[in-house]
Amino acid sequence: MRTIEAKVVVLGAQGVGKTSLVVRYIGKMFNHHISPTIGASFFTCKINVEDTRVKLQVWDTAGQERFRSMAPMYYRNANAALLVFDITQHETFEAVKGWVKELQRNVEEPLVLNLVGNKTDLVGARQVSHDEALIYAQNIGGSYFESSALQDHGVEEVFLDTALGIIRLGEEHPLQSSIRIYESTSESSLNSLQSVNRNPQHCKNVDDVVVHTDGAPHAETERPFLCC
Amino acid sequence: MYAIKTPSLRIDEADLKCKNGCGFYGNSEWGGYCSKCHREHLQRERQRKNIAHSSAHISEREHGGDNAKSSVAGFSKFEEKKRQHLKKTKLLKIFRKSSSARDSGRPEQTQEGASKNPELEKLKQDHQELFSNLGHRVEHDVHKHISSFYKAIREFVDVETIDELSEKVQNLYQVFAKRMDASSNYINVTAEQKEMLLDYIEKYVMTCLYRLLFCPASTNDEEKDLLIQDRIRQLNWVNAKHLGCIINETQSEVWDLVYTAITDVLGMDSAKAPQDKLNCVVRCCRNIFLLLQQSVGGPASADEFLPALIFIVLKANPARLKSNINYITRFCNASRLMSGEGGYYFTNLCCAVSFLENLTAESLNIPADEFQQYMSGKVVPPNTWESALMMCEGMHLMYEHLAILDDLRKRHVCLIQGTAALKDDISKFKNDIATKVEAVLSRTPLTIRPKRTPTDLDSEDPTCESLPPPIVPQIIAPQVGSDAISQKILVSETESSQEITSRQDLFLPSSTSSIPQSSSQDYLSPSPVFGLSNSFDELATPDEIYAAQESLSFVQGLTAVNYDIDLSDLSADNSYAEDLAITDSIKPDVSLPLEPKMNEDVSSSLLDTNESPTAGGLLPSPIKPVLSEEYKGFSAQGWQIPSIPCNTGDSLPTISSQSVVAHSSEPISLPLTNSERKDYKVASEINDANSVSGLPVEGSGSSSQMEDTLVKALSGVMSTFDRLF
Repeated sequence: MRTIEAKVVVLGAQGVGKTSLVVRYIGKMFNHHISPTIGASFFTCKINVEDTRVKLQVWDTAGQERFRSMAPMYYRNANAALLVFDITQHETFEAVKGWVKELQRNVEEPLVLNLVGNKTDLVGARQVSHDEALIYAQNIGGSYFESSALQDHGVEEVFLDTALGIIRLGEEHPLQSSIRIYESTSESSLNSLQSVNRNPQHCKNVDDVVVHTDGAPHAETERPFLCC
Repeated sequence: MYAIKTPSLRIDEADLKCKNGCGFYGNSEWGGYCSKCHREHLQRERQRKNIAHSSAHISEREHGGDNAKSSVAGFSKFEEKKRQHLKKTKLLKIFRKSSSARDSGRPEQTQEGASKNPELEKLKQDHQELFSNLGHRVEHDVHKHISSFYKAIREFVDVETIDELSEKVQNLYQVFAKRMDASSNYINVTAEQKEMLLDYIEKYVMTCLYRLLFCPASTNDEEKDLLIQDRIRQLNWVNAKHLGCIINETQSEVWDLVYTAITDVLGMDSAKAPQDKLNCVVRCCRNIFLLLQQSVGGPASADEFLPALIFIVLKANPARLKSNINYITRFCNASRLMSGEGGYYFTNLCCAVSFLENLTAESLNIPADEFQQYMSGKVVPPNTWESALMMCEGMHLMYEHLAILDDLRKRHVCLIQGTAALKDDISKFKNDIATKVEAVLSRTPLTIRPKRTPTDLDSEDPTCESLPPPIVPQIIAPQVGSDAISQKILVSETESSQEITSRQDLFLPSSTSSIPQSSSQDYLSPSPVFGLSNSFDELATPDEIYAAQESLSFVQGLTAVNYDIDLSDLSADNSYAEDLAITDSIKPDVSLPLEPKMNEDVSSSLLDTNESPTAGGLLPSPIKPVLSEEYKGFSAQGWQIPSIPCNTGDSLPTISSQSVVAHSSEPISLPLTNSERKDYKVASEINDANSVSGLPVEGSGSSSQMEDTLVKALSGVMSTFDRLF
């Protein structure tokens, strides 16, 4: 059983729904519990894919323009970046392009880039077309997702694909220093896993979530993926 | 033992000197060398080692063998820098002598596991359980590693740059992590326990090396600390609003959390191990999340968290902030710092500090000139931290006062209810009194009127008239004497009255016709003297009237006395009245002030006999017949005298008194001779006496009216009550 630890940074302009996305995802993980989240800016989640456990550390960033100069501190040593924009506001898409350029310029290590067009519930006011975003995502070598944090649509997929991307990254760049890969010996919780789908996007049935909470503000969850 | 304790006494001075014999004092810490020789010695040692191993770092070699190998262009400059660094270290050593002395004996202590440092003791105790689970072998290995770790770092503390040391420390962490994975000793140790062991090593070694590695003199950390401290001090006008930070300033719980967060971030400086410092940051940030949750009402995001953290750092202004941050960055286990909650918060802290360092007007969304004014301290923004605190205090006070006001209002309501009840009681009481008075009035008036009028005085008069014949024969023998006495008394009486009138003239100089009037007034109504004109009329009970009569007589006596005194004083001045007195046939004894007083006493006793019905049976008999009979013949007004008691018995008291006044004032218009005036005086005297004696008759006769006045008085009192409420 391999464990990969990776750092995911969420970037995007203010008001695009970065936090909503994160909160929605945390909320799904704690679906049967009273939400213990008092802070949603940092959380850890464990996603099990095949024989690998991916520990994602999701770092939310402040979207205010005044903190823009501080961004390098956040994405330093990151392994993946979620670039969130608002499909109803084209300037947020432009901002994402700016982020990508900045990342490409400042981060030497390979990075998983996932583009997320949020607020699909407001499809009527759409300003960024699906194709435009998709083409851009392909250009930068990333994937494109559309989500609605409000209606809880397509949120999970974003994080799952990020986990898969990190696994790929770990395989492609085995000497990657910032991704911590280590073999874990005895993890009883994982022995129950029987069949793991390589494409967790299609997964609809989700087992009971194993939640480790100690009253900390940030969640750490473990979730095995089973095929339907 | 003793020798060690007091080395200066036993040890020869030569032993204290440098081993090199340079003349300077040596130090045991430096192997018996002086500081300079020790350095040279170390450098030589290292050089030798470098050559032997030939695997040393280039930079290290540069530092170590500065005189041999590196002959670069900027060598002299480098040397200069190096010397400064060492000088600084030396200076620092002096300040930290006690601690370094303690440190010197630590390698052995760490091996043995018995440390004098209480923090290490505590650390050991905290991990006692872990080691008991892991077994003795693991514990031994860990401590062995710690010992070598410590030695490795300790050796290079003085000679290597802080970055090299940091690298070394990080390498040692990794080495130990790998060793745990590889060594057979750690086969049964879980990943979590390995993490704990790694933490333990980090904490232990760093606590030991804290004084050497924290804010070392070779860096400019201290300057940066001061810079950021000044900067934050300069920025103390920045408030939560400027930062766009949502802190519910009015909530006391939020403020408590703000203070807790500030305390946590301040506590960072007192912790020794980088991990403990990091934990302080984590605690602080968790509190910030808690307070944001209170303020926002839901999970707080990074958008809200970062401004809040900046606000906390700004208000806390933690000591040696930069040094602490650098210390954590350098010596905290990198794998931990790069990831995890602590890493995230630490990154945020670094961001906050960087934000504060590069703070501009733009980043606060305020105009540049305003920013400049604030920075220069020319203008103080209205809503600063202090004012916020004051507002908090103010709010607190306000709430307290509101509570007090509530209490007061309750009391006020109680008071109003009480007053209403009292008012009711009063009105009830008033009604009670009124009904009682009415009851009394309805019960009493008819019975009293006819009862008293005949009993006291009407019966007296007939007795007086009917008595004389039986009495006169009884006192025949002394009658002449008694008549003479009575006459004498009367004369003296007139004299006194004359004198009084003359005295009265002193104060009321007017025409001669006014003199008797004034005297009569003086006699008839003593009220001007006492101000009892109304009350006298209203007096109801006979007792009071007696008392009034007594007071009246007393007043007469009093006025007489007063006039005497006036007389003695103003005898020379009174011209007009004296002239009048001189013209009189009978000269008033102006020169004898005592005489009228005695006469007055007599007259008063005479009056008393008239007044009191009891005494009237004994004494009035010789006097009254004399008076009535003699004066009837004497004066023109004599006919009026007996008529008064008859009239007063039936008529109203006011009318009777008026009639008396009218009678007395009647002679004013008449041109009187002196004798006539004297007679009038006497008559008025009698008149007065009669009127006085008639008063009880009037009072008892008009009881219904007196009761009316009583009711009036009561209603007046009640109206005053009403006005009061």
